[in-house]
Amino acid sequence: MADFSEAYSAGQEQSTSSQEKRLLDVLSRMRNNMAGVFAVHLHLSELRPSHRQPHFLRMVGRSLDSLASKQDVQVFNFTNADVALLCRNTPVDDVDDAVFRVRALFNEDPLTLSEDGSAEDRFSTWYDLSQPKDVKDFADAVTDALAHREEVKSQQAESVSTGRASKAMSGEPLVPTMLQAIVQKLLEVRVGDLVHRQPAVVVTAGKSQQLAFREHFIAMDELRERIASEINIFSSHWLFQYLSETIDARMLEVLARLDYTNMDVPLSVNLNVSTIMARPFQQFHALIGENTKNVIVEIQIIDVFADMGAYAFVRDWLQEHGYQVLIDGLNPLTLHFFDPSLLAADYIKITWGPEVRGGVGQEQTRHIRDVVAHMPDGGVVLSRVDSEEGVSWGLDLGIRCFQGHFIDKVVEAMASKGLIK
Amino acid sequence: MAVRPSSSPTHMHRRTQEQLLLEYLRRLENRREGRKAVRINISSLMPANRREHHIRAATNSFETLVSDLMGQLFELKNLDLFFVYKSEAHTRVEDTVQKVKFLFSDDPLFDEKSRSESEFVSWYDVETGYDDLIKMVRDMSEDTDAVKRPATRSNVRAALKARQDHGEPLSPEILGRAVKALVRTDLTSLVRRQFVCGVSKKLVPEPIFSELYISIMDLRETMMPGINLTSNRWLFQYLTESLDKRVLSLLSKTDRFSITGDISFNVNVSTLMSPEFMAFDDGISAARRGSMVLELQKIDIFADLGAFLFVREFCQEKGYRICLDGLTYQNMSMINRERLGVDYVKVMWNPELVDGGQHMRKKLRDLVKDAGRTTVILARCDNREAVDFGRSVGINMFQGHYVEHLIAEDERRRQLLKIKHRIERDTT
Repeated sequence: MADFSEAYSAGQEQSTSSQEKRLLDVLSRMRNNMAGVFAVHLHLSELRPSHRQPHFLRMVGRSLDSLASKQDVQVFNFTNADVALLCRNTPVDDVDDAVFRVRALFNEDPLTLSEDGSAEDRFSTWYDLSQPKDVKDFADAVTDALAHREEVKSQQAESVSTGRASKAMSGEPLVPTMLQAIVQKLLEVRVGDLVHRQPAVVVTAGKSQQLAFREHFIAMDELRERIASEINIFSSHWLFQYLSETIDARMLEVLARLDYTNMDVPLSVNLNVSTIMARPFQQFHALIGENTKNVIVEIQIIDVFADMGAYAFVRDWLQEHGYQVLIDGLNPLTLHFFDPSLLAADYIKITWGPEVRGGVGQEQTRHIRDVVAHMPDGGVVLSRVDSEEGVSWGLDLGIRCFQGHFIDKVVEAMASKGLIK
Repeated sequence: MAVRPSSSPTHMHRRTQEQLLLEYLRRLENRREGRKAVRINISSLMPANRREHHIRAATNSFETLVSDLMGQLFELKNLDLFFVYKSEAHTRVEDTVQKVKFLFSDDPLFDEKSRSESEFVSWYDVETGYDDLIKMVRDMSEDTDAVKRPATRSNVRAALKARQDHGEPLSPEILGRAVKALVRTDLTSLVRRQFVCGVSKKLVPEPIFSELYISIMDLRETMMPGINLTSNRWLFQYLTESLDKRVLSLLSKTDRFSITGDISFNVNVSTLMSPEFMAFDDGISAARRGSMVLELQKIDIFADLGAFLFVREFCQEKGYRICLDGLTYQNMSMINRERLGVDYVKVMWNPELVDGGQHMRKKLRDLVKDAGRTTVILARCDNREAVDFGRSVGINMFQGHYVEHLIAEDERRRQLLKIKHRIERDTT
């Protein structure tokens, strides 16, 4: 089986390197024989980066395989992830079905929001190659794809993340045998200087802004540089989660050195449920004494679902002892599938991201509104807000607490005016 | 993983917790009115379920009761907790015990052996049952005398290791070795099968499909004796990804492993996106796909919701059915199953569902009704109560030891019937 998989991926890589050129060749050779030929260009390069990963694209290839095997259809996989179908005397309905199947795979991607086949359909473009104009347009599109190769490559490096983990990082994938050495390294290196702070701001009724809390976090890319620069520590969810237990312990060491008696606003920190039940946190707890109200514990949603019993237990324990609990790792998409207000946390954090930029469907908007309404006032935090657009989007839905690069700038400006310390 | 408490224990002559408990009870002899006691039988759990941080959390949860002078906690050598308290705190104690129970309720190994709730918690009335209690505790403290080991707290921890006769926690190294070894190990003999059945009013089971799974306990015994595979959730989760691939290769070798009827098996979302699954999918006919149910874990949904939705679509398109496994009453009400678009959801039976009374029953009935085209399966049914309860809230599909028992019974009845017919035929 291993042999097969190697052959499979190797074969794919080899052939993708020049598929755009090959398609242009084919087009020029067919120039005089275009009757009954049409092409479909699937703009997969415009999917969200998280959908553009190789395993997704591999599955797209398989969805189209059946079409190619039965009909006179050639499939071209571009370097930028786009796919072109070149069809001769093939029933449009058959091709349509196949395109629809691929489209359905990405139902959650904004790219497929537009009506299938409509003028503003951004997912696919059809070309009738018996028309010279269409031949030219199609050839131009392919040439563009070829030219954009480099650009797309750099785009793919853009970070994609679910919670704290990101798969887009390069390097050798993490395997269990590497863990021991990395954990050891983690225990030895200095982490204090990698701890960053990011403020969250709450917009009050009078439209004035106030600091809500400051998240303390370790910048993962910097940490990776220090402990395992050659390894993609995010390549496996589960192994990264394992590492994060040690990261928690180091983080708590750093946080234990802060002064909790004179804190203007609480700090928040991301922790594993298992950490809270274990010694690193219990020691931290003993140290900060009466000042628990100054600490907000952020818990990842995946950790909550890993063991609901344990979550309920630590939530109760934390809240009884004066801490506040925040659920992290949600996005507008997750809200569609469950209502996090039922988790009885003090805060939930939703990521503002490309999937909601440019608006979400009405139904989805209604859900977010519902969730916000179910949470305590100011209990919903919109994070990764990098523009004013994010703030107005959030405010419109009743969200009043914000975090992100844009907010960093706002806070800086406030500080320079002496509005906050 | 196993951490020792930093406060170094004095190895002087220490009395065991059992002895201290005995002394404490003796001192209560003339003040026993309004005293109660509860024992939490951690020792009745599977060794793998006795995860250290859970036990510590369980101990911590009595902390406020102790500091409010409501009672005294004893941590016995076999890890059981014994709490003697004033009856005025009974409701608080019940709450605490409830939380502790909940803490241990969500473990993959609970599948393998049924545990009744009463086995886990025992309640005592010190006032009326004083003599029996003294006798029981005396027996316990004599037992520990015989072992002659000072049971300080840290020794309880040490004993934890020894006592979990399979207790070495799963470390990254062992995991690495296990993953490698899995490739060479023939898992055929470790495959177990359990049916999901419709159950009629007269308790006649009607098999719908059967779940194939690798017994984690047997796997450990075969491959990694002495290793506690579930001691770290994340490493265990990683191990399951390797197991998935082995199961896929088993299933594609139908000559060695013949299965009849519709089947289901557990699989990670990441596995469904792997070349191994593509190869598996290539090797089976479209009809066979239609007879397979892929069981996905709830944790996988939130690990990467986008990936979950993607593979769900991909697999359903190909004809597989999808079952969302591992729901409890709590998270079932939280998740919008209809939008997740799965064919089945599996809810774990828990006797507390009945304790919840009419209110719980009504809520669950509504949930089952709302599930729409999604069909609800009640799993881990260990007794008739589970099936009766399920039927009362509109659930029609069941799985668990009790269902296996019904199948065996049904089989036996059919055999008898056959013999009877034969006798009748021979005699006429």
